[in-house]
Amino acid sequence: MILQALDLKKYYGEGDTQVKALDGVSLEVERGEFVSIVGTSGSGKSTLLHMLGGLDNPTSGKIVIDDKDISELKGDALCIFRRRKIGFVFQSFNLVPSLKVYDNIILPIELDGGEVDKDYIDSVITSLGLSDLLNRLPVKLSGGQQQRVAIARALATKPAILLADEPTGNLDSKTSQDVLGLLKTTGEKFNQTIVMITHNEEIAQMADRIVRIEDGKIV
Amino acid sequence: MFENRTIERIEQMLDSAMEGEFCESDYDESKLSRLESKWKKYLYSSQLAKNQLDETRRNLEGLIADISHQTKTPMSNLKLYSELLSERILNMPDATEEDRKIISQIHEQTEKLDFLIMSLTKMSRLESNIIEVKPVNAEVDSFVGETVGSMRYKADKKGISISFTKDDNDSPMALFDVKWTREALSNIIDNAIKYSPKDSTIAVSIKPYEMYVAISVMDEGQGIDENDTAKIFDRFYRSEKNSDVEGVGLGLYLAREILRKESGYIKVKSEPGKGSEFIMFLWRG
Amino acid sequence: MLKVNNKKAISKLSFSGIKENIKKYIVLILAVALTSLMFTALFTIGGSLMKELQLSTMRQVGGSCHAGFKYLTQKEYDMFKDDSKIKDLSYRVTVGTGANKEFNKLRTEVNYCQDDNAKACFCYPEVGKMPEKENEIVTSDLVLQKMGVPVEVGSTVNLTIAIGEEEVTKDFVVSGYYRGDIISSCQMTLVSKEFQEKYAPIKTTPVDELTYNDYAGWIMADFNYANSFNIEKKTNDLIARTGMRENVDYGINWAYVGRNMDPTTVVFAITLLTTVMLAGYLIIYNIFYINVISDIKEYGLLKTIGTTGKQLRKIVRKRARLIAISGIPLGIIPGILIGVWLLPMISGTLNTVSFDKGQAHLNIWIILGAVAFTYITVILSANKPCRKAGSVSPIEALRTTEDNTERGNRKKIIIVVMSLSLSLVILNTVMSLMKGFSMDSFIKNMVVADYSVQDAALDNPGTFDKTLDGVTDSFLEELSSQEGVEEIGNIYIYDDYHDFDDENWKKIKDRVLSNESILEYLKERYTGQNGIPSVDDYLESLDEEKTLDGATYGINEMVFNKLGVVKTIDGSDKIDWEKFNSGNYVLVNCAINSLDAKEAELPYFEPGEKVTVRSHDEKYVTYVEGIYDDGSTFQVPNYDNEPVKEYEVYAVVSMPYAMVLQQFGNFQCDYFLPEKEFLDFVGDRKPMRTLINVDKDNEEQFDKWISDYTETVETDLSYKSKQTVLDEYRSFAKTIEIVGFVLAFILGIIGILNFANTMTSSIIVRARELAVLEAVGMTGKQQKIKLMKEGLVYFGWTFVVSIVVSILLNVTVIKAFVVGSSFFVWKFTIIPVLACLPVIGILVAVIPVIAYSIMCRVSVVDRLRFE
Repeated sequence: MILQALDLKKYYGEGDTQVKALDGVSLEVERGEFVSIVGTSGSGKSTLLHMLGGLDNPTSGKIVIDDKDISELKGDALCIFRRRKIGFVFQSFNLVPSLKVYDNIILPIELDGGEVDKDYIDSVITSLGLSDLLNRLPVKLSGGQQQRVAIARALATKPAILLADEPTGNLDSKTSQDVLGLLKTTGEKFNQTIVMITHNEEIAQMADRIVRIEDGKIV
Repeated sequence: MFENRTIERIEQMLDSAMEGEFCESDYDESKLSRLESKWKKYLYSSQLAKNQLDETRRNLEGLIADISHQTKTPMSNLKLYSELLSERILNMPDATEEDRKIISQIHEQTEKLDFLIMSLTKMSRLESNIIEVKPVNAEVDSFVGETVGSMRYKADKKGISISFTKDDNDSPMALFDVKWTREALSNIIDNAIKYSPKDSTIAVSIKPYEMYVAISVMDEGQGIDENDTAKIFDRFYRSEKNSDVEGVGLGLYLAREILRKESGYIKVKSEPGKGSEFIMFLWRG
Repeated sequence: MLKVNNKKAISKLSFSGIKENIKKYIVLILAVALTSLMFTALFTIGGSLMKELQLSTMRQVGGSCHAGFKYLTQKEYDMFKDDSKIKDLSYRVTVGTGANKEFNKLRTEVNYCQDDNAKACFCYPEVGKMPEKENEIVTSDLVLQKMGVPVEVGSTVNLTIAIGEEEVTKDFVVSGYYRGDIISSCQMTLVSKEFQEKYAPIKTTPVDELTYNDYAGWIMADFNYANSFNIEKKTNDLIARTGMRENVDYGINWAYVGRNMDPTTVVFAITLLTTVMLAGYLIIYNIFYINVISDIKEYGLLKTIGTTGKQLRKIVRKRARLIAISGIPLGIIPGILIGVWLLPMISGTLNTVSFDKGQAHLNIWIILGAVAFTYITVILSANKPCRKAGSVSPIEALRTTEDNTERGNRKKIIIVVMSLSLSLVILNTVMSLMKGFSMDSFIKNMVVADYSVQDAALDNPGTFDKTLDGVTDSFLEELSSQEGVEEIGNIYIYDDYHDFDDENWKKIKDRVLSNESILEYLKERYTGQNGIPSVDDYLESLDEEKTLDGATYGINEMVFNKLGVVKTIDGSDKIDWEKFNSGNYVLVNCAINSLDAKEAELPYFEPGEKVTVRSHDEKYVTYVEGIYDDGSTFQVPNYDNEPVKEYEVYAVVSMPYAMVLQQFGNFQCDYFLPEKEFLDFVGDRKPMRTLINVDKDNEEQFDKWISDYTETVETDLSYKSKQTVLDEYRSFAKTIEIVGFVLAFILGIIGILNFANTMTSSIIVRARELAVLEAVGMTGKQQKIKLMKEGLVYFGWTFVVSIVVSILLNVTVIKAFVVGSSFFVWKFTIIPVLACLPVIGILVAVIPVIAYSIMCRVSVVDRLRFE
């Protein structure tokens, strides 16, 4: 088991105005699994993903990734944990605009001061069809291409888990199919655990397993 | 300084272990040396395990080869004799209806057994990497056209028509192993034929994407339950509703494995009662 | 602990971020360039002035070498000449001193100099060449002028040179000349080696073994060390190391030693540095901060993919460094140009050298200093933005783009308001100083008559041995034949000290020496440290001698009428010439003598008291023998045995600055006697200064005459006209004005830039918000008004802050400054601020609108999509 969330709760505000973004969510993900979390807007799925990625702290509960309870980590330690264990793919791509595609992809490795595993990165790049785009800047890329770069970047550090937050939210349906296909196939190819959140049933169908969340609870 | 060298050595150890060629550098009283020895021990034991695994796999491969080879002759003999027998019985004036039924059952089951053995052999060869899927760049249109053509006879027999639409102006290329992918597509179309009602149409179409070329096979069958969509690709999965339909539950599994090996994938969309759509995504590379 | 190496990633990120957003960073680079410009200009001016002051000291001393040994034999010279720790060693050989009567007032030494030594002693010929033949000399233009010889190569001069006990008179040909500076203690005349060997062969017996002393034939060696620190110790070490005589006469160039700047200059320099630093900080910090805010999404994103806060801080700091590296060089050249442009104006207000004044003395340290200060400013400015970038929360950065918190806004306002106000406040300060620069009080002190004629060197504070009776009979005679001369006022003086009897000494002790402000003043000078005596020691020595420095002036009615009256014997505030001229009375001055008579305080004596004046008549003079440093002797006049006469103090007065002997000691106890009484009793002499009033009709003609006369006939004399003084005043005022305006202008631009940058960024980061507003129906006009209103908040605060601070400064610092100064009166003004505020108001209203209009070129839909 690569990821385990135990009774996660996230409350905002107090008293009458209290919002329960997450209300006791437990989730387990096996190594190599592709899980999609489906929910409507406001269901708490984004909050859940942020928690799983260590971007936000739960009010209570516990998250164990790769045998490490990340609620014990603070500040820079959490940051480094994220760098090594989590790959993010966001709806809005979030590439570093000033870096060329290749530099974007290897950025997390370089941030960790690591040597770039050339063969692995090359194979990731080829799998994602990015070979011809490496010297471009993100602004020169289509949305689909940008998201493919983001996937490559997320895979670069061979993270324990890849978290995708509405990865096709900003893409047309045809491009979405491409990106999802690549996410799925590269995930399988590199035996990567993927947790994806989406509101779109059809997209969720791409996963091995679908988890539904409503009003901060898993149904 | 000193600390630095130690770390460097450990990194070296890891690297050479990953290459499978770790050897202890020296034996002395240092902790590093002790670590090297332990590391070697660990590597040895895991190497042992790996060797055993390889051994098992080789044995398995041999077994499969044996099975497929050894069953081939008895199987064809069996088929031949059952055919001969059935001819005889049919020509025998005193043969009863019962006799004919039995002999046709024998014949049918022999065919089924033959198919099953073939499928299993393919599957295990595929899974154990005995047979390699070698994707090459090829035209998708002609490939689909030929495959559909080869399935027409079977469909006609069931009164099902297969339509094939393609864009004449655009003839997309993709990376796929023609032989194995034909196996996969045939399995899917075969499935569609099996689960389609009489007089319905199976629509085969091609849709190019930036990264993939999609081959869609849409039937007008009863569709698949949402809960089943993930399971249908499992080995030996057969829907309970369809126990009457012949099949061994390996076709979709095989198709998925083939596509996976070509960096493609299969997706299914279904609306119960209206039909299913299987889409094969071939990677364009 | 071992760290993973991620430098590559950091520097890649830092660099590409700038490269891709070069537009955004260009503003920042320009801001750095501006700061570097200001620092470079400041350092150019400061460094050059320091160098000029040093040069002026060197010219006074007569050399630029760190140290030197004097009176050496060849053998002694050889002992140390190869020492490895000295360099630029060169020597001259003393020959004698100029003995023509023209040199009475222009001390002239005759030496043979090596080329390098001539260069080090500022006497290497600028025109012509070094002397080679026996009859060739090199000397200064001043000497040639004095001798009445054309200043050109080939002129013949008849020189009498005192060589030891003998005098040699010969005709010499000028082989070259250099520009002499009147501030030098003596002019150098160079003769050839041949001449020196013939008339003053190098001595062979060490100076301490000679029973007689003469000035001829000694080697004077000058040299430098690796650096100018602790020259004295190095010299003592050198003596010990080389085995020189322990009593060898050595000289330390105090141009390198006496570098203790006076506190006012230090405070002024620090204030300027801080101001520039603050100005630079304000602009760089603000732009930087805004850049970070607008990049906050990028930083947040970097954090989500695992960049630590520390790494983000590193990235920002690295960017700061890159910006500094690209911006600083841009400002250096313009900074130097501005410095060079301003230098003459500022140097003009200082008494330093007489030629090559206001020249830029550039060196690597000036540039390095400016670079260092700019760099520090950039790094300091980047500190806060660094922390901001480091502390970004990944989630927030994903969601929002602007620091829209109350605090963030307030900070922005504070920065912009501060930088806008700073320029206004400085402008106002300069303007109120200018306004308070009082023509009246200036003129009253500096201009007492239409013309003032005196010895050319009299009013140059750098000169020693001033000629106190420089106005010649021939001049006075010529003057009397000029038309239109209405009044002539001669000021005679002897300047020495006064001795007091016990009764009067007690008065001085009680009134002056125990006065608190006097004691405070003395305490600053007599610290009792570093060999300087303590106040008590000083007072004790005064008590022993019972004397105070002071002069006795002889004045006529015209001068008498220009005196400021503090108090008189009959209690009136008028003094009567007839009564004073009776010969029984004396006028005295005050110990603390503000130039404005009304504020004069602490008279040495009260009206009605009796003081004795000692005659300084040459009739009674006796001489004692004095010995120069170099061993030659001279006669010292002694007046101690001259008759004294008692006078009654008629009034306590103050003499305007333009009339007095301009020198400053601890005490200046002056007596004033009527012209006739002075000449009769104190001794006949020529005036120190002659004041002349001319009627309006003949002014032009007189001006021409006196200018011609002092330039061609009697070049020793100089004149100061009311006009030249007024011009001086104007140039002084102009200097302050220009410097002030340049500063205020730069700061103003910085302020406006800051504001523009703040507004623009705020509009850009809110593009989406504004687009939403537009989408829901807010018209462009309404939005512009909304933005203008935001701008007006800045304006409002600037308005309040600049006015309040200006007023506060005006009534405190400026007032305090003005009270201590004689040329300023305190005038309250706030008009410059009020005049500038509307301009700022307009800019503040217009800039947001322009920024908005530029943004509007992108369609609403696009902006809405933008995230």
